[in-house]
Amino acid sequence: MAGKRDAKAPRRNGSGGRVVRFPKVVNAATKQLKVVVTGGSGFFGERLVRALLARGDREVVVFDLVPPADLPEVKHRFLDLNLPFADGTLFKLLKEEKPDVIVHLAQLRSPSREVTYAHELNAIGALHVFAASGEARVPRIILGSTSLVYGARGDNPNFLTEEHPLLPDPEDRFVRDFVEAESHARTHVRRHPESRVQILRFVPLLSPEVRDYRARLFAAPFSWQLMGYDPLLQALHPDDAVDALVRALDRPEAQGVFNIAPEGVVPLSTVRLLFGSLGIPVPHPLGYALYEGTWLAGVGLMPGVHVDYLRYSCVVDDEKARRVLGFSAKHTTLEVVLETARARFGSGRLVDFDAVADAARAARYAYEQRVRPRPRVRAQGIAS
Amino acid sequence: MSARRHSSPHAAPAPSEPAYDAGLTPSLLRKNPDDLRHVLLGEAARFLDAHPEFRSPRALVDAWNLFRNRSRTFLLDDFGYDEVAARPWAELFDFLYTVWWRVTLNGVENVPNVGRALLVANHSGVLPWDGAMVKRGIAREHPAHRTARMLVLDMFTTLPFLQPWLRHMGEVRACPENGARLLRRDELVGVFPEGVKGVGKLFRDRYRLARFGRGGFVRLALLTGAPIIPVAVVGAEEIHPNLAHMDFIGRPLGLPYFPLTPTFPLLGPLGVLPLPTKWWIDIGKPIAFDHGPDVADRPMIVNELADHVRSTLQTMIDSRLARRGNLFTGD
Repeated sequence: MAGKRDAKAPRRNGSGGRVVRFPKVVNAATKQLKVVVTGGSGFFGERLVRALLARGDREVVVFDLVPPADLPEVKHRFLDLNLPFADGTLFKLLKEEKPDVIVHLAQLRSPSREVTYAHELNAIGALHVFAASGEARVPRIILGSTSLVYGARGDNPNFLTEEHPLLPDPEDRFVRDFVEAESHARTHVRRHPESRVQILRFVPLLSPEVRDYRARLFAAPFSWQLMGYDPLLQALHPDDAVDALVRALDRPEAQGVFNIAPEGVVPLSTVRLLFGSLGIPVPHPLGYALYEGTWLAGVGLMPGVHVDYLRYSCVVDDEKARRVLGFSAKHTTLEVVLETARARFGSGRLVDFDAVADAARAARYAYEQRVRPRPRVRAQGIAS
Repeated sequence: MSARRHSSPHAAPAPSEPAYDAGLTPSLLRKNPDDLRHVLLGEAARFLDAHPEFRSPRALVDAWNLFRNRSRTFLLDDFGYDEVAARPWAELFDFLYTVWWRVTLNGVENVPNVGRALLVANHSGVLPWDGAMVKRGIAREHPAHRTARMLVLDMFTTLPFLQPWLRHMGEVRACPENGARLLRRDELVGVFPEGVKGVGKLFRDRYRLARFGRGGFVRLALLTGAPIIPVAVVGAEEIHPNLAHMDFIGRPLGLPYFPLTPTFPLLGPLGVLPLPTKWWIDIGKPIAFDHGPDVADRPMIVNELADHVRSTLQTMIDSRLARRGNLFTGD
């Protein structure tokens, strides 16, 4: 293995064990890194593979059920993480491929009615990946997680940092599976202190191509709206998510958990306004029941417990990713929502998208003024 | 204006337009698909051609959504503060400030023109009108017209309808993370360290400061290097004389307290009307600590500093009470 390992470096495990830190390793390797992407044929994984191929400085292997469409030059190995002994299969594959990094993106990013399938893939799949990587001595693992793991709660601070405890509704199995996957990452770090694990908590993606449950909810002609609640939302452009992953790959010394979020927030009512989606106001206890009922009837987009995310904000702070990974999203939340709404439902609308685009530009300017360190200029010749 | 929206097929007819065809005859000839629409929809289709912005069925939803959000803008800050949407409410607060409570604001020069500062005020009056008046007073009378961002109790920020409204007004939920983020951005932040114990205190305990939380506001000031500015509000204790807590009603409703005042709940909704007492808001000299941020992790010193602020504020309140005459006229 390249690089000198300093196994005796102190492992600081502050703030309730939420932040996992690893011994600092200097990656002296200049050879071409070999990256394995699980779920590399999915929406997110395929974009990452494309970005890595475009740079051309990495060897990429995709582990998935099917080879990625339109990318015949990529090496593909069949892997089904839902099989009971997928870890053994994965171990054999890893022994053959000997990757430097494994990026785990084989996850469902929408709630599924097939609860067992979703749990086997999102939670147990991560368990298999960490188990096999530990046995095969894969030096680095990057786990794609979601910012939903913090839970939408009335007592959340407006910006959740990585140190904040993970308190989703325990009944929300979709989010709980991601929390379990992260717990497998922490266990892996305890068992293999020499390995390096990065957990990236992505804000849910949105772009004209995204078809997850949230994008479908926004695009629906109507949806139930909890009366008197209007949470602030974030939406991440897939290109920014890929950029964050590539930056994480480039910085092996940056370890632990990172929130990957765009600048700015948009209230749910504004998202509905831009998409032209009607929110039918219902009292919030009825809202939970209606979402649960439509979910059980097979037409809903999410179970009743997940309605917390339409009630309270779950907005994350990307300060650590900015500082450590050097990541900053190219698109603000308002721009992502605006461009998605305009691309999908832009014609024949009363909303003046150009005026909103002007507002988005003004907001971006305000953010840039705030984020960029600028020297304090003292006004000259003015009596204070 | 997007080019696509105005490029209706009828606006610029192709030079080689085929002969008119209603669209009902099966034919291999090229025909204008909009003509079928005209046959089926008649006058409505002509309206849609004249108003291309109504061509999507979502346009009707747009009309409703635009009406619903007519006072909102897209220029929110990242706490959801919508300055433009908050502006019309200033008139109501101005009425309360000048006519209803006739607030006298002293010491506004102690609030800095720029830079971070932490306002620490006493809390009273069952409903948090004192916060609104401190904020409005500084916005009116301060030379820089600074907007104080008040940290609001959880019990108000989680209530339906109140939650989005408070956010548009620029208030944020009271927690250390939010306060630190605002102060690091050089904002003026207002806190009421007494919390629920202050706002819901009984009439017999008026102007006796309750415990100052856990000293979180001192920790906030130490960590961000912000000076603490004590603000004494006198007159707000009497707007709703809280005679007793009726917990047998409040508990099942999930409220921290349910007050019994001479007018509430006796007069029903009319009892929510506050009494028009005369108010004084005194802003004291900034208290700067000569400690570094490392002291924030030493609870005993933090508690001592919190007690210093508390006694300063109590002295300010007591001196104003001694000079105050009639409760309603102030003479």
